[in-house]
This record gives sequence, C-alpha cells and structure tokens, in this order.
Amino acid sequence: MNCEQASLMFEAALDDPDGAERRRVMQHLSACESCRHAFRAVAYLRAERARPVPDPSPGAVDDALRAGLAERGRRGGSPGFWGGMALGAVAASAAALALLFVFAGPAEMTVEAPAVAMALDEPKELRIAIDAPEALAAAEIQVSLRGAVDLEGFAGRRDIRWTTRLERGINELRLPVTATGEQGGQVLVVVRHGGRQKTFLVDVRVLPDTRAVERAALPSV
Amino acid sequence: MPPISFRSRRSPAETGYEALVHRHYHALYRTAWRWTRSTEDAEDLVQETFTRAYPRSADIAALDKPGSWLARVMYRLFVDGVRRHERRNVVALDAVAAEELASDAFGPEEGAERARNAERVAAVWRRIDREKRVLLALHDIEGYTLAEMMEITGLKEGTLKSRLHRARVLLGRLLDPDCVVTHPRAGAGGSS
Repeated sequence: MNCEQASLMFEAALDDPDGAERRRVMQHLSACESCRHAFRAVAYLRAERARPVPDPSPGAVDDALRAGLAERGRRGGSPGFWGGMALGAVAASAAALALLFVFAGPAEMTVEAPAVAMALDEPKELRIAIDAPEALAAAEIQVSLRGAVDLEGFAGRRDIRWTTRLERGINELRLPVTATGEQGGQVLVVVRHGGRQKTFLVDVRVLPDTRAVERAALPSV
Repeated sequence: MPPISFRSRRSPAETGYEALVHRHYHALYRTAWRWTRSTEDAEDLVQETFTRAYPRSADIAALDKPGSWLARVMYRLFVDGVRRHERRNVVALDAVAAEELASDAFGPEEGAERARNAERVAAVWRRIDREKRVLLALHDIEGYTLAEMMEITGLKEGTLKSRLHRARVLLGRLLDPDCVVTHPRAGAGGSS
C-alpha cells in the first residue's frame, strides 16, 4: 500500500477500529511517518465536524446587503442609470417618461436630466425613480414647477412638499405633467434627509405641433 | 398624505442580489468560519464576496450552482489575501468554544477530551497557510469531494491531492503531542 492508497482509507479506518481497512492503514503508518501525521490530522479534524459554528452577528446579513448597494453607489448607480435619462429624451411619444436618480454621493447635489419632450397641453406621466441605498424615514420631498408646466390635479400650485418614508431601493414618483406653453418649463424634485439634499432638474420642452407643420408643408393652391 | 403617486419597488438587480445573499449567506459564512475561526473575519470575508458578486448577481443566480461560484470567489479572496487581513486573536473565542464543548451534550470525560482536541486545533490553525487551511476545512471538516474542491479551487486533481496531503502532514506535525505549540499572536500566520 502506498501513501495515496492509505490516505483514501483514512476515513474507513476511523469509522471501524476493528475493520480490515484499519489494520491495513495501521500497517502502512507503522512504516510511514508523514502518513502518521496526516492520519492524526484527519482524526482531529473529524472531531471538528461536530463542533458548532458560532452564529453570525445579528445584522450581518443586512450588512452584506448594504455593502452590495454601497458598491452599486460607488460604481455610479444601477445599470441603466444614464440609459434611463436618455430614454426620457427620446420617449416623447411614450405613455410615460422614466428618469432615475440615486440618493447617494455628496451631501448636496443637483442632477440635471436630459430634457424631456411632450406635446402641448397633453398630460404625460413623468416617472422619477429615486434609488435610495437604505430606507430613509421621514424624507422630505419637494416638487417645484418653473415656466409653462403644470401638474394635473394641482392647478396653480407651483410648489408641493410632503414628508414620506423612502424604502431601500427604487421609489417611484409619478408626476402627471402638462406643458401649458410652447416655451416649456422645468420640474424640480428635491429630496432631503438627514442633512443631505439632492435636487433633480428636468427640462420640459414642447414638441412642435406636427399637424401645423404638415399644414405648413402643403403646397398652397 | 402624499399628493402625488409614490410607490416603492426593487430594481431587478437589487431583487436578485437580495435573493442571492439570503439564500447563500449562512452556508458561505459557515465555510468562512471554518477557514478563519473568527466570526468577525468570516463575516468580513463573506461580505466582501457578496460585494464582488453584486454587479453580476443576476448572472450568478442563473447558474446551476451559484453557491460554488460564490465559494470560488471567496476562496480566491481568502487565499490571495485581497481582503483585510485576519485581525483578531482567536484564542479567546476558541477557549469559549472549548468550554461549550466541554459542558454541552457530552459526558464530562468525552466533553473534556473533545474540548482539548478543539483547543489544540485552534492553537495551531493559524500557523498553517491559508490555502492549506481551506483544503483541510473543505475536505476533512465539511466533507467536500475532490471534484467539488477542484471546482472551487481550480486546482487539478493530482495537485489537489498532493497539497491536501501536505496540509494534513503539516497539521498532524503541529498536533503531535511531542510538538510544543504556543498560541499564535493576533494576525500571525496564515499570510500565505
């Protein structure tokens, strides 16, 4: 029996002290010092199997979850962060315009999104996904309007504020926006929490009236 | 009273990551603890593993054996020493565990014998380099097969067998009653 053959029988030798494998292994060990050491190690480690592993600290799983999210923030946001911005710029004909920003980074920051375009006087849902790296209790949300834009259901109000809880992950704010003048305007969303303030600035532009363009392009008779 | 529609949802990447962490955390932690013999070091190692996994969590979750992929990442982190070094002296922790072993579930003699064995292993564990510890823990404590270990370590079977044998011989020498063993200093050994 060589060392490799002996090592394959260590477990059996430990399982059955009176078995044939045990006798063969012992015979090999009597002449092989390194296998004597290896056998001793296997015997000790086998006893370790019964040894309980201490539980992880309370909150260790949550810490691992947070670490991944922090890594996401460090890398500059979720995949599709700027893709979402671009979507807003081109999705003029879509039912909703989706934009995303991350509540992370410097204590005070303004993010300017690419402009969104919509037809005059046609409400369009602007979806702003606020990506929070952790749950934020009592976050203050402020929606401000500049220029010729309006929020459906809030006629005449230019500034709306309320306090809410942001859950960890994506919190979707749905704003039914209408462009009320050809000059368009801006929608500002400000999120404040714990001394931090992030401002999200969306330019709203008005699409040319395609029917008027078509009429102008027709030859006069 | 939110005046505007506001709802919370998880991004697909986040949902996938959470599921991955919840499903595999405890198995990875258990393995990491066997390697490090420290709760805090094991938690650090597992956390670092998941952090590395985050950008690819959706792809990993779709694998046949996501646990093996994670174990492979953790193995590389541990053996390459990319993560923070093990910082804590394990003596105190192992002494507690030894007392628990002595008092729980066994008769006084058997418990005391197990406790002595546990103390001896604990005393020499960090004098063994990290790769050897991993091989010993995976094969001789956790019962991984050589095929599973090849998947985790990327080593060929012959290399794995010879390294496992060398690891056993080293540990056996250190556990030899004639071998004088002293407790390692904090962070000593295992630098690989």
